[in-house]
Amino acid sequence: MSAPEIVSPIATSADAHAAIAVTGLVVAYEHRTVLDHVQFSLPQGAMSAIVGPNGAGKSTLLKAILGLIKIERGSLSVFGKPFCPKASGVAYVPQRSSVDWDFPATVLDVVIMGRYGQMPWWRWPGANERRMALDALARVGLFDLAQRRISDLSGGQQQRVFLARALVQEARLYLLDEPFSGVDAASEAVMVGLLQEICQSGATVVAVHHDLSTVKRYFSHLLLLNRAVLACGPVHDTFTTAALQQAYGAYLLNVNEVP
Amino acid sequence: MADILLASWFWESTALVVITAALCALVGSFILLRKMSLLADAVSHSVLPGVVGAYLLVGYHTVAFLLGAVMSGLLCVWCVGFLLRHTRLKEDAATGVVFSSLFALGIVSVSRLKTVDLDPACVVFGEAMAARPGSLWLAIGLLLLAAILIALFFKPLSLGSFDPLQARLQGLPERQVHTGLLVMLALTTVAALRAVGLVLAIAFLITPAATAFVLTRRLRTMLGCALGLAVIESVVGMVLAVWLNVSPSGLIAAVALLVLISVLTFQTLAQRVSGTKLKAAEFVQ
Amino acid sequence: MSQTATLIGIDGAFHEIALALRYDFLQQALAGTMLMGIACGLMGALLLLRRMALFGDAIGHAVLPGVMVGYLLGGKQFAWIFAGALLAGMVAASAVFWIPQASRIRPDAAMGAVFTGMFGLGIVLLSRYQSGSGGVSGLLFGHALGIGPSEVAWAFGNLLVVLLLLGVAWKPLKLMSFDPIQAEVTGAPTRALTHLLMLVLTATIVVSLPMVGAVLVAALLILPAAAASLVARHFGTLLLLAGIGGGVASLVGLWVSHAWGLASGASIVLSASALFVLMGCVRGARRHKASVRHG
Repeated sequence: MSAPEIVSPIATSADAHAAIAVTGLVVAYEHRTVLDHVQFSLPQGAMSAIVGPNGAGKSTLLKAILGLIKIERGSLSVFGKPFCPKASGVAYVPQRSSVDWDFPATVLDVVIMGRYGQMPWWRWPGANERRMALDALARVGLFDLAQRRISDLSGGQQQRVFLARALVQEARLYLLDEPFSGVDAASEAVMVGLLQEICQSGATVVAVHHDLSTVKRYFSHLLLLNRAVLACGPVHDTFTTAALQQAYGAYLLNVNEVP
Repeated sequence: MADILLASWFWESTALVVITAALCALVGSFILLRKMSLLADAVSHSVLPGVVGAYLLVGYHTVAFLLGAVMSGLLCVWCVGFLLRHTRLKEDAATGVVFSSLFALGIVSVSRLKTVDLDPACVVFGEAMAARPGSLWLAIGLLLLAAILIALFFKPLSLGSFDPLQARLQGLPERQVHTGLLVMLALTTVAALRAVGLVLAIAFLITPAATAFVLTRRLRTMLGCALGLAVIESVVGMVLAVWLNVSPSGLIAAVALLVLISVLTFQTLAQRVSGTKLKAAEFVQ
Repeated sequence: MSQTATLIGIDGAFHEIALALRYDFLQQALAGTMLMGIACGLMGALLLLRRMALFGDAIGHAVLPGVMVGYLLGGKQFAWIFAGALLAGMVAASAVFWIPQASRIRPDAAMGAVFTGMFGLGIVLLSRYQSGSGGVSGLLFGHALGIGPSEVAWAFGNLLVVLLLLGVAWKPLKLMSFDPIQAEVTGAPTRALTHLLMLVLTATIVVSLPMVGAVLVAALLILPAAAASLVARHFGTLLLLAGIGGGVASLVGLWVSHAWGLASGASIVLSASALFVLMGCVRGARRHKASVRHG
């Protein structure tokens, strides 16, 4: 399958207003191509979903954007510049399983950790950081649990703690890796509301998402990925039966049957 | 008994053991949280050939010992990494291969040297009673160094243990801190080797930190608790050892394990009695 | 000319070995260490496959208090020492399994805490009831050249037990090593087998103590098995190579120790390390050849 022919309706040149712009990206693990000439851009201020079947390279794409893996070819930019950890304006929310929940810390401690990158290296967190963290906890609805040990929280609450940790970073771009997997309905509703609020205030949200039934309701933009880009653009243009069948295979029926 | 407790040499050796214990507990807490207990075991065994090599080159010289220890400790870490990259060996097997080889090399050289300064049995369970005066200053210096470094790098140390990827993305010096911790571990082992021997060094690195880990729910309280436990366990152990006329290092290691087992037993019983998930830790706090 | 010289050289070495073998103590030491080495290699391979390579290290240290109690209760009788060590080994193994279940402490930390504490207790008993450090060094580092006929007999008996275990439980052991869940599903007695494995492991360690010592016995469990795993592809080959490797490393190590006057336990371990490096080279060469063939 050669990618460039079916690339999105969106202009391929790196858009000046793009939050993320990727051109000609190739990533390979041990001679197996995971991402093949991926080319897209996601607009600022939008809430975009990265969707695709298992093994489509969604997490790999996030890691590539964050400069965590070696890329074979291509270029990546975040707000027009290559990603750099210092002063990046990017908050990353990892998959819940990727951290050590037995670590001895309270909910408040974890949220304060979101400020570490913005503080001088020798300074300890003080009253200011504490206040910001409590504000963020109130926004995700966990203010009352601030002094709980993190291992005592439910999966949904843990994910909300992560979102609060991202909030205190006051980022321009929020990258989330499957934020709603294994999360209860109440937590999911709180998080979606917050993410939409973030977008309205001008920041950008990009989430790897696997639940096709909620794509239309939650997101404004879509990047459909299966090793190559199958579609990219506003949800109502790109979330089509044809494109989804191309990504997931023919067994997927009509997109209109998806609520 | 009474006159021993009044003797100044007893308090000098107790001070040495207590300070070494505190040093190990501080470094060991981060080792535990970063899941490097296995590596700590390996590195502390592997410093032996480095120390012996330094002894062969320049004689009994503390700085040379420290340098040799750091070099062979890092060599051990590098070798383990090499085996993991190039063979199918699992982490535990690779670690075991490297440290047992390096340790055996150290033992062969020590037994070949036949010197009064290094004795294979002393290497293993130390001679707290026959410590040299320099050992105390070395331990104090390293304890201060460890405390200062932890205060300065508390952020990357803690976030790097909880979520290393996040630490990197926030631009914290995660890799440097990791290497620094390994170097600190090697230095700590040298101090402990001279004061209390290898086995107690590992015991102090792991056991008080593990006990504090189950007793507390915040990193700062855990560090304080580990420190306190290490100090109390070593004082109790020293006094008991003098009273029973047995090896202090061995007794302190046994006491530390006893404390851990008691805490866990108490917690398990408390859970069973209350029938809830309420941890004993929350009673303590 | 040079070939003749070499031949004479080899002949000379054999002559020397033949001369040395006239000493009873050397014969006993060679027989004992070889039997021990084979048993350690086999047990180590089983541990390695189950990702418990360092369990031998923990048990090796933890048997010390049991050894001391047995020694104190039963005089110098090996049976008493053996019983005490078995008991201590089982206590330690249970503690290592229990701690991660009862708390958030990870297995590796649990292992470190248990082995140091129990070893410390052993040292306490040693320092209380045994004056002079000769015996201490013996138990900690081993003295292969000092063993007698009874140690050889115990090593032989232990090897038989290990072989018996392998013969009886070959299939479930193989299945458990590669797919423990499948083994459980098909109804293999995995729990009982794990306990049996721990028991035989402790026995092997106790038998090895007089020869390589508590501190170094783990190395003899890990190194030959790890060396074999570098080149072996099947369960049977791995066990065979690990057993042979353990035996050969022990013989070579003992010979080196005798010839150069080095500590015997550490020499045996170092020759096992050499074996590991050698197998690493064999593997590297094999890979190189394969890559050349593929172009």
